[in-house]
Formats: sequence, structure tokens, C-alpha cells
Amino acid sequence: MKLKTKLTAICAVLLFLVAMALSGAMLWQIREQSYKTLTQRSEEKLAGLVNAFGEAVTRNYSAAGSPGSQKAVLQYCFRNCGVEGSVLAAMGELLSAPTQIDPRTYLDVHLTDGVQTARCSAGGKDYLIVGRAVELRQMECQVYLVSDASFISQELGELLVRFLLLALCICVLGLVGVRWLIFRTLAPLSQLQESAEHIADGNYAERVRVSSKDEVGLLAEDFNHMASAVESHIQSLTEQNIRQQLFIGGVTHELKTPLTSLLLNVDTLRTVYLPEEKQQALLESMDGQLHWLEQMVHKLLKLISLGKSAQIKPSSVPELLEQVKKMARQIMEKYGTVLEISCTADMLPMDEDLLCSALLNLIENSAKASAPGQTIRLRAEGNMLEVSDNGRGIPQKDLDRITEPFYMGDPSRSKVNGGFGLGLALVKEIAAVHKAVLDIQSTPGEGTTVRLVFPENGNQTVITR
Amino acid sequence: MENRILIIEDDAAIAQTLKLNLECAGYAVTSFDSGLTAWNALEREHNYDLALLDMMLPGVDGFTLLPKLKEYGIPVICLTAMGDAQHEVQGLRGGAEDYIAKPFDMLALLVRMEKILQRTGRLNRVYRFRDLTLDTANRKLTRNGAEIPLPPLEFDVLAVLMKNKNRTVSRDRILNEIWGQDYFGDIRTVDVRIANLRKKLGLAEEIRTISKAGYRLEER
Repeated sequence: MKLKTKLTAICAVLLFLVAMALSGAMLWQIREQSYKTLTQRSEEKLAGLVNAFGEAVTRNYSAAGSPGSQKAVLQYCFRNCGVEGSVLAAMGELLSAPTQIDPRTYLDVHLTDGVQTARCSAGGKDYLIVGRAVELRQMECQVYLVSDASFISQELGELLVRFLLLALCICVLGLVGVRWLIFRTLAPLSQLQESAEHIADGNYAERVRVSSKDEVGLLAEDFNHMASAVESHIQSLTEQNIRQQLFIGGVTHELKTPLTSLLLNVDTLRTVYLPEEKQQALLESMDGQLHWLEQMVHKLLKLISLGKSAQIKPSSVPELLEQVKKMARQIMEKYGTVLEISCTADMLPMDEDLLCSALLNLIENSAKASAPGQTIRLRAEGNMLEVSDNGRGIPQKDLDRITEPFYMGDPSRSKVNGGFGLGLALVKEIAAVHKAVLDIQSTPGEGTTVRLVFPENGNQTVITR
Repeated sequence: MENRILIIEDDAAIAQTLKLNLECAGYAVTSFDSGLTAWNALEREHNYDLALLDMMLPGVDGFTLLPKLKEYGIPVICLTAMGDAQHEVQGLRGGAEDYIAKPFDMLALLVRMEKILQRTGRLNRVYRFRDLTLDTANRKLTRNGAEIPLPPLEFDVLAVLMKNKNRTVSRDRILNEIWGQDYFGDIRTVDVRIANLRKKLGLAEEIRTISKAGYRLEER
């Protein structure tokens, strides 16, 4: 059941109960009031009756006489008073003409009591009985006045019908009001629900516009926060997905060219009659291509599994640079460049092998960009490692993308130099494993400076993966 | 006269293989590894019958070279790793005769080349093997100037072998070349013609049977 319907139903029941209770209370009040008025009137009448009866008895009473005649006198006098509904009882006997009921069964009065009242119903009618005991000539007489009170319940019955109608009217009007109120209060919730549906449909930019400051407003605010969080998560996932697709696209593209060539060569060897030396040349070229492929797969594997195999522990930076120097000798000879090393750093938390390979990558990049005879500087200072050169530099448009796998500023030149476009991606990954920042500054024509900046507190913390 | 083919391809390995295959098929091949050198060389010498153009070239790329080649009236087949429809349309709109995505099948490329040469009327229709000369235009086979009469089917089979000198051709391919794709003939027909040719022309050694593959006319 909807919240709206539920609340409306509860309100309807409550309204009806309240209306009924109020009606009941008012009816009770009216009934009591009517009885009170009737009692007052009856009491006055009774007082009059008793007086008149007393006087009549005094007038007509003769001292001598049998109890029988006494009774007759009382009867006579009482009948002369002629009050409707009055009943006289004396000496345990009913002396007056009987009314519909015998008041003595409902009300027992004694001399000491004064005026008494009682209510009763008999034969489908209500009665009010007022009674009093009086002493006349040493005789105790009970005088009752029985009045018909049926009109009260009749009136109440009519009133009850009216009250019921009134209660119904109140209920209906109240419900309309309540429904409107609930609708207004719950309107932001409906908006919220609509927005949630939109978001579920994939429209992650959807937000709720609720201006109220109540709980619903707060909920809407929180909902918007949640939607933002979801949106940014989805976005980062999408970006990651796109990056991965680009990466896979890159891998595929890189594999396609050597594979095309290899397939062609195999086909040629299979179908074409070739002289011995041409066959040999073809096989050698295929061998080269296969080695190139193998190397690329090796590098890719390294790139993918980097984070898992890293062993980071505090190591000596001078020792690292010494090792890099040894391994860089071959590169320096190949490109005819000079490596200059300066070191003021002491210890850094690192995986020596990985960092060595990162620095060698950077040095090789610098060597490729430099002319023979130029100097490449490797500098370690505090928590920073830096490789700089005076080579041709990197164009501004390539700077942002240069660390993407397979990105090459100028594809032809990299091919000539035997690159895969994976070097800087590898360096970036290694930097990330060390929680270090990779910073590349370059001015075309003047040179490039690449920095690996380790975290400040790096000297103390030991991170083990 | 051999057909002159221009190859513009930056991947040295692919260029080498292409050259090797085309030379085997009897084409004269010139190849360049960059758009710029090709551009400059074309200014001086542009007497080519067909160009194989790689679209992804450093510097001056294939799309830039295409109009230049059209200017000299050289038909172009685009070779590329970008095998998507958009690039294909761009290449063909640019005036390329055909478009082949890498990795491609050498045989398919050879057939396409032949069709284009035929269409542009540049196809060399005279094939030579040692002292034999086969003129497909006039359907004449001569040895040192003297005509050797051959039944039509045997002539066709010999033509296929000579067109694909040094290359293995399957029996199916021979049948297809002669009757087209729809023919489902007995491939032993080919064996009979081959046997006749060997006997009539004295090519028992030169027409080699390559087991499970087909026949090859070898020029040692």
C-alpha cells in the first residue's frame, strides 16, 4: 500500500473515532442536563404535593377512627390533590391509584432521607421517580412522583442521527484536507522517487530540486550527495574502461604489424621458389621480428605485473646510481652521449631493480633525444631523482599523453630507434608503486627534465607490498 | 616489358617481403620507406603502372600522397592497418583503386593488382620463361620465334603457371583462373593438361609437383 493511502486511512479512522467520542460526550451531557431539569421540576411539584396533601389531611382528619378509615381519609385527601403520576404509599401498602410502575421497587424512602430520586425503565419506557417520606398524624407516608422520561431518549435518538451525519461530514471534509496536506508533504518524496528512477535508468547527472528544510529536504540533499558519488564513480570506471580499451587497442595495433609481416613471410617461404641466399635473408628478418615481438610481450608483462612483484625497502641511493651508471654505459656508447652523475641523497624506500630500470628508461629516452656529444645529467637530491638533457625536447601537445602506453610523439622516429612507446608508461607505473610523483618538464629545442619525487616522510616509512 | 610497381611502406620487413613476392611474380619493383622521399622521387620519375601505398606513414602520409599519384595517373592500392570503413571510404574517395587491410593475403593482393592493371590497360600480356614466350593477347606460344600450337585448355593452364612463375598454384586456383569461381570440374583435368605440357614442351623438371599444394613453374 502506498504511504499516501496508509496515512489517509489512519487519519480517516482517527477522525471518525474522535468525532464519535465527541458526539457521545455531548449526548451524555445533554441527557444529564435534561434529567437534571426534569428532577428539579419534579422535586418542586413533589414539594407542592406534599404541602397540599399535608394540609388536606390536617383539615379532614378526625382523631378517632379505625386504621381503615384513616386509610380512606389519606386516600381521599391524596386523590383530591390530583397530581398526575403521584403515588402514595403508607404502612407498606399502595394507597393511590397505581401508575404503570410501582415506584417502591425502585426507590425506598425513609423519614431521615429527605427527597430521593431514581431512574428506571420498564415496558420500553424511561421513568424518573422522585420520592419522599412524610409523617402525618404519627403515620409514615411515602409520597412518590413518577414522571415519564421517555422523551429524553427520544430526543437523544434524534440528536444521535444528526450527530452521526455531522461526524460523517467532518470526516469527509477532514479527509479532503488531510489528503491535500499529505500530498503536499509527500510531493518531494515523489520527486525523489522520480529522480531515483532516472538515475537507475542510467541518467547519472540527474539531481533532485527540493528546497524544503525538513527531513525530506535533508534526505534530498543526502540523495544528491549519493548521486554525485555514484556519478563520479561511474565516470572514473568509464574512464578506466576507456583507458584499458585504448591500451588493448594499442597492444593489438602493435602486434598486428609484425604479425602481418610474419604471416606474409611464412606464406612466401611456403609458396615461392627462392634462391638459397634470399631464403636465408627472409628467415633472418623473421627472426628479428620474432625477437621484437618477444621483447614487447616481456615489457607488457612487466608493466602489468609490476605492482605485485615490487619489494620496497630502504636502500642506498649512491649504490643505485652506481649500478645505473654501469648499465647505462652501453646506451651511452650507442648514442655517443655522456652521462654525468651527482648525488647528495642517502637512503630512500624503493625496489632497486624497478627503480634502476625506470632510470635506465629515462636515460635512454634522453640519449635518443640528444645529439652525439651532449651530456645527460642524473641527479639525486633529498627525496628526488632527476634525469635531464639538452636534447630536442617534447612538444607541448604530447606532454600530457606521453606516459600513455604505446603513445609515441613521432611514430616513425621511435620505430627507427626500436621503441615500443612503453618506456614512460613503465616509469609512471614504477613511480606509482613507490608512491612517487612523476614530473616531466620540457621545452622543445632546449631539453627535457624528468623528476621522480618521493613522498616527504619517505625516509622513515617502510612500505612492503 | 615488365610492369613497374611502386611500393611506399615504412615498415621495412613488410616492404621487403612485398618486394620479394612481386619480383618473383615478374614485376619490376621500386620501394620507398617514407612519404617525403617518395614525394621527392616522384617529381623526377613517375613512370609506374601501379602503386602500393601504406596510409600510416610518418611525415607525409598516404592521404597526402594519394592526389600526387593520381596527378601522374598512377593507379593506387591502399595498404593499411586501419581496417575500418571510415578510412576505407576516405581512401577510395581520395582516388584509390582498391583498399586492402593488414594483415592481407599475398595471393589476394596479386590478383587485385592484376585486375587493376588489366582494367587500366597496363597489364603486361606477354610472359617469358627461358626460351618460351607466351602472348595472352594473341594466344600465341613461341619458342625462339617458332610458334608451338597448343589446345586452348593447355594454353590456359600454361598461362596460369607462367603468370605465377616460381609460385605454387593449387589445382583449384588453376581451374578458377580458367573457368571462374563457379566451376566445379574434375581437378584431375588439370593433371592431364600438366602431363601433356611437360611432354610437349620438355618441361618435366621445371613444372614441379608440390605435394598437397599444387604445381610450380620453377626458374632456377
